[in-house]
Amino acid sequence: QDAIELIYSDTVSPTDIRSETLQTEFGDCLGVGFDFQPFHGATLFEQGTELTAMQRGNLDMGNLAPFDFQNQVPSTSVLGTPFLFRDYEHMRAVYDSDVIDDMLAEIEETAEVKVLAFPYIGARHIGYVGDERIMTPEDLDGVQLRMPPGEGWQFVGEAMGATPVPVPFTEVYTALQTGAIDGQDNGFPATRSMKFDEVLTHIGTTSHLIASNLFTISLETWNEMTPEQQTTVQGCADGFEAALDAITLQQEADLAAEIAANGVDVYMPDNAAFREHVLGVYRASEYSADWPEGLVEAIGDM
Amino acid sequence: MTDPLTLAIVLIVVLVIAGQSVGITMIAGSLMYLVLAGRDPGLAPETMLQGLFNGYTLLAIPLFILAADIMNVGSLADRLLRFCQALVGRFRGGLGHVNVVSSVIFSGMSGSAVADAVGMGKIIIGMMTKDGRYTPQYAAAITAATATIGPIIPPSIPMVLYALVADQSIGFLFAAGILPGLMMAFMMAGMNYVIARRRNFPVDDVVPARELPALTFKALPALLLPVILLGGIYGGVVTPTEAAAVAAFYALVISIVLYRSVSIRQFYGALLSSARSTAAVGILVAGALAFEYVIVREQVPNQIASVMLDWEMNAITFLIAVNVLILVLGCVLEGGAILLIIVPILIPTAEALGIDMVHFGVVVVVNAMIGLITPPYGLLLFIVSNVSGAPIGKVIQEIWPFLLALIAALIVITFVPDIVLFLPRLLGYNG
Amino acid sequence: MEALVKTGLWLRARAENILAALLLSMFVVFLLQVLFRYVLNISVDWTVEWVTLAWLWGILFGYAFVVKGREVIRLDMVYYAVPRPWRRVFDIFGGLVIAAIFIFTLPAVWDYIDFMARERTAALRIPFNWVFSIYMLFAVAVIIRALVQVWDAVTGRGPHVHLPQDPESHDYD
Ligand code: NA
Ligand code: NA
Repeated sequence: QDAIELIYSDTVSPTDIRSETLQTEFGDCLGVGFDFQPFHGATLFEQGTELTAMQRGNLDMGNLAPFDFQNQVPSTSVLGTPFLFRDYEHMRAVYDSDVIDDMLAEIEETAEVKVLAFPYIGARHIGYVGDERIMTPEDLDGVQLRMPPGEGWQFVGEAMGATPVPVPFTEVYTALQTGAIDGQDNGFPATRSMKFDEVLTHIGTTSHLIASNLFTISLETWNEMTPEQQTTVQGCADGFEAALDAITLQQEADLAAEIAANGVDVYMPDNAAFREHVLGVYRASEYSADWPEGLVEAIGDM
Repeated sequence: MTDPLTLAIVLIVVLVIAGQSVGITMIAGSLMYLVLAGRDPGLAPETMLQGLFNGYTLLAIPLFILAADIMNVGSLADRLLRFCQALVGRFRGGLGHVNVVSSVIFSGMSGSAVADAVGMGKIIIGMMTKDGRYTPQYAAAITAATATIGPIIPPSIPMVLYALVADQSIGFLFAAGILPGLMMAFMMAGMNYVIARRRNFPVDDVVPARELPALTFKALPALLLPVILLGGIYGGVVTPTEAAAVAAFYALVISIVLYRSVSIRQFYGALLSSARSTAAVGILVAGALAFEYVIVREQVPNQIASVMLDWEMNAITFLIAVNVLILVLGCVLEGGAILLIIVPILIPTAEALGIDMVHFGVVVVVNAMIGLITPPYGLLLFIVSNVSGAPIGKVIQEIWPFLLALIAALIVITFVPDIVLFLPRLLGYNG
Repeated sequence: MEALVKTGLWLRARAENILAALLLSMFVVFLLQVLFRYVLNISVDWTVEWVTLAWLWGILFGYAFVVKGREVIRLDMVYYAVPRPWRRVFDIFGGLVIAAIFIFTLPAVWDYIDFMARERTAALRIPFNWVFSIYMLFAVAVIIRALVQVWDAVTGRGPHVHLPQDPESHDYD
């Protein structure tokens, strides 16, 4: 019998530790019955087009962001809401519980993909070039904060109190350097891999998004597997999630210290003020209309 | 390599040699591959449509063409030409040197070789070919060759991609590109000098020094354009992509307000001719995007690279092999894909051989840029052929000396790491 | 017949109007973006999206309806070096192969474009089947142009009849 071919595509650099971890913890874990073929750096499919590629049977697996589901499963936008999670433990507890089972069922039903795991990729903070610390949403007024292109992302920046600017990822370094933008929001791992810390003067650890990817497999591919194969894939995905969580947490701790030692002012702003402001803006926006009844409260109570 | 891939490549080569549209042929070849391989034929249009729709940095192309067309109808280009003639017309190949220098200036605001070739390129090709001073193919060839400097001197998108993949400092990489970029410019100016002597290019009468101030004054608005754009970019007002729109706007305002020289009809003409060039060039980019899916899916670069890595190599033979590999792949892949696919495979070997990774980055990027003008298939060759109206075969004939000059520069860059690392070391790089 | 030619010319002129308008919109919208962002400090994200839209449509629409045969980028060294009968063979072979491939794959590509109705653009919320529908017009134009090329070669018209210009006529060196 032929090995099961699993074509995987993501946007991460092929030399990133996340790509290595994917190979060692997931690819190698699958064993001989599978032919896992990862494509990194968005070389096979453009960022944000993986979901439709899976639905059309052209791609088996991907590592998606919540916003990638926005058009087809609008309720997922709640997972991209800033300050939804207090910290990493809270996020992990939520994903390990059954509180979003309805949403996962809706994803399988509507988007025809199965979410295998929610690997942690780091908390997002505001990093900027400036003279003074930004402590509150009011301090962000008029600050040109680069947010990833796309309505959902831009709204995050707006809700934080900044003027969001959609600059492509590869242009952010130069834009920070020339002053075309004042800041950007990425976690420590991305800040380091894109070398933003060479230019930034401040990083305010807002942790406004405790970000995980949705490690996803096309439902068609999944249903073609035997129960034993499904168990293998799910087990390896869980192992990948655990490994990536540990690596990301370690990286965040190491990099925060290292970046601070290099002269960047790493500090904690008034996160309570940000949290209150942001959730207020979201509740008043059209986004909250898509949220499943009571889910935000249920997550908050955990 | 599978049979569908071989067949698709054969089909593309045959149709291109048979003089069919290069862009359409690439799309057709990709579609045929997908059909033969039993995959979804929608994938080729998908990659092409999504690639164009997400190709933010490509947007500078139509706007720089528009800026050039407006400068041409609005007499800015004429004034610039007269100024340059007065300054360097008495020297053989003077405008060729202007071409080189303009590319160096332009490289400070653009991270893309294509934007350079169509932007500055169009204006300067027009200047060089006016009244038959230079042949269109010579002007086209030197424009394509000098456009490769764009991403070597910062800012540079390929350097950012390399920094990401190889985990190197962008600041040091940017600094490392400056001297090699200047050296490439120097080599091409030298080649222009030699050719100008050999072919006895016409020289203009010496313009008396007392006429210079008036000519300078008349050309001042055009001369200020790079100053304004560089100021806008480094002053944080515009991104390099937006600078293209500002350039077109500036040219339009100056032409209308100062020279009263652009009628509505002329403006419409400039819009239409720019849009035409954009479509002709854009379909080539589209074809390359469609075919890229095929190459990536079949893992062609990975396979070639792993075959190469099986050989016993020392640092010197490794660098030579890398140069050849990237020059060859440069025929079918644009710079970004090369950096993202090939470089990760090469890095472990390069590190094991003790090659400095900032040095390696500059070698790889220079290489990928030279791949853009390597016959027979080089994106920049097709673009300058379209912009200048010179037949592609003629452009290819003229590109060889410049290609040799660039390869000579590449050899120096490859084997004298100190040239690359001098500036980064001044800034504190310890490598 | 004369009316047909007249209509054709009128249509071409309108296509040119549309193409010029697309580029003009790119130009104006980009300037608006600079104005909004850096002068008025207002956040906008529809501008970039409009510009990429106009870029995509401009290329495919422009290539399909405005770019003339002699503006098309091709590698023509061999084409103009071989005798005229060979050029006719090239044009017939190339035209037929390209038309066949584009016709054969058209249903599958339509399936993809139609499928994309489920996704919308980020800022302007335009369904992607509309954004990508330009491919269908483009493909149909490519097919028609390829078949016209075949017909021209069979009947002895077209570019293979004469050299573009005498290759040496604008040589100054
Ligand atoms: Na540059
Ligand atoms: Na140049």
